[in-house]
Amino acid sequence: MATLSLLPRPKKADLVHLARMGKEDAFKELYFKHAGYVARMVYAITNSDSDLEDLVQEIFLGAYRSLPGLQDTEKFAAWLGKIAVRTIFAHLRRRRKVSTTNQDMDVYAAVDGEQEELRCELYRALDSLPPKLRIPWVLHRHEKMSLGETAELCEISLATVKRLIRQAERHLQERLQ
Amino acid sequence: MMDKYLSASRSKGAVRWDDLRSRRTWDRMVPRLQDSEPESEFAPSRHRPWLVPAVAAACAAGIVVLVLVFLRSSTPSTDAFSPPVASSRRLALAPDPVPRRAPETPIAVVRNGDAILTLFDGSQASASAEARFKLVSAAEHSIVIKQTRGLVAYAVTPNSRRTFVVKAHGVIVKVLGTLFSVNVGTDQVQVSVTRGRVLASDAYRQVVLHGGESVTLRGSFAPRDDQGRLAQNPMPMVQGTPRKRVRPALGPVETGSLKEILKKVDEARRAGRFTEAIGLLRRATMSPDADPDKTTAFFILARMELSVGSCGAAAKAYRSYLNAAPRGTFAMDALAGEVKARWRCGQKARARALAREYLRRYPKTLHASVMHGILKE
Repeated sequence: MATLSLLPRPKKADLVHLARMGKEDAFKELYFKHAGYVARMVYAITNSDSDLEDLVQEIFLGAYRSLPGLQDTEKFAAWLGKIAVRTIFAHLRRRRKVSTTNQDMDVYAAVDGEQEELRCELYRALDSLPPKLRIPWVLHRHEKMSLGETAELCEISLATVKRLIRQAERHLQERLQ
Repeated sequence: MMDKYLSASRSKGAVRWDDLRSRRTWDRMVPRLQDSEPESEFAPSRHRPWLVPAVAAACAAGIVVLVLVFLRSSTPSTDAFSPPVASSRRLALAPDPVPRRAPETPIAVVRNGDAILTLFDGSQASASAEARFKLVSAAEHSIVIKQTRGLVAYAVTPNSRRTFVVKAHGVIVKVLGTLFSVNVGTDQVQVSVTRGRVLASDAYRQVVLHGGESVTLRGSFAPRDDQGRLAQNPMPMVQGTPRKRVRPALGPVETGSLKEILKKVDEARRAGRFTEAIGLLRRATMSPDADPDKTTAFFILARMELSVGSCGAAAKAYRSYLNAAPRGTFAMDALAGEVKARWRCGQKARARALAREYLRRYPKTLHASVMHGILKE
């Protein structure tokens, strides 16, 4: 008798299709495949470990709700990335509005060694940037994404993404000098 | 210069995301997934093929409404409450000879042969094709409807400062709660309550009905003597005995840990045994343990209470969750849930205050549009 493990595993596009039909197992598999990618992106942009799980959860919930709107099932990862960028953008805007005293303590609590010191300085400088400059800069410079990928994830034109990254770079250099 | 910062950040800033953390996040997300409804609001794709036909349909509907309003305003009418119903369906909604003015004119529409009357406070009366009823008065503190024939289902917006009365052949139904129906037959009037409380009375009897109960009264259909007086004890006066109210029990005494109880709750919930699940959850929330699962139990209980229409209990459970975990994972959803529950209970002032609190804390989140809607209403 054939067991479930001997059956061919569904392709990603099939999984997306099944998840769209409301199959929770298919969505679970998609989650475990992409959670690491999403978490890495969230952490690189926010540098906050305490918000990480909540944000990953928000992103996947948003994706689950929006699945019927997904046009091309092959491009699930790129589509998920866009949702992640939107969610992080909203989160950063919210965080800038509230007092950042506690978050600063939380984020920069354990400073140890020169490398850590440099990293903390960079994120302090990034915290002074608005999210619309911060996100493209981190994706392109920190996460080494191409300008095209960054523009697609941020849902802006290539020219705009270049301008925003240049603007962010200038601002950061002033802060870090 | 920037490169040294970037290399330091890349070398030291690796995310601590392992399998355990991934699983924990998934486990916390599952209850929210099960309650989520897929929607297209947050879809990143900007391609919306439905937009053009939807806008065109809305414009066409707007033009039709404007034409109808123009036509209505050009024909003088003395009937303040006459609704725009089809001529084939005669729905008597004329007021008293000296009408008391309602804060707003009621709206009546005909859908699939049934007429639905919406009053200024949001209460609705849904009448079957053969039903006849009349809005006797619709003032701010009192709404009176006279029903002469057929079946009408009423969904009344709770308001302790306003009385809602249905009169049907000598049977007076005073609404204390929300959802009920009155069926006027050839020689009796049947009152059935789906949710809330209703006081039904005629010349002989007065009955308080709760959700799930029904009663049949004779009213003016009761036999009379030669001089036209009502008989002393017309039989049968009450044909249906009120059913006993079913309340969710506290559930069997569970000796297992909180985790085991929650597992049983999950099983019951998935099998559709909501009463059992609610009973178990109530017991779980009463446990004296300071377990983090207990706060989750409050949240699940609140959602379940709301789904079965117990708005007050739901609001209370949401509040308990927020008190136990003000910055918990579900704090945002709990606050939104409490607003909705209190709004449905009729505690509108409290709901508005909480909606303001929600928008202050979570200005651009999933429930923000609902909160804005509540504040606008």
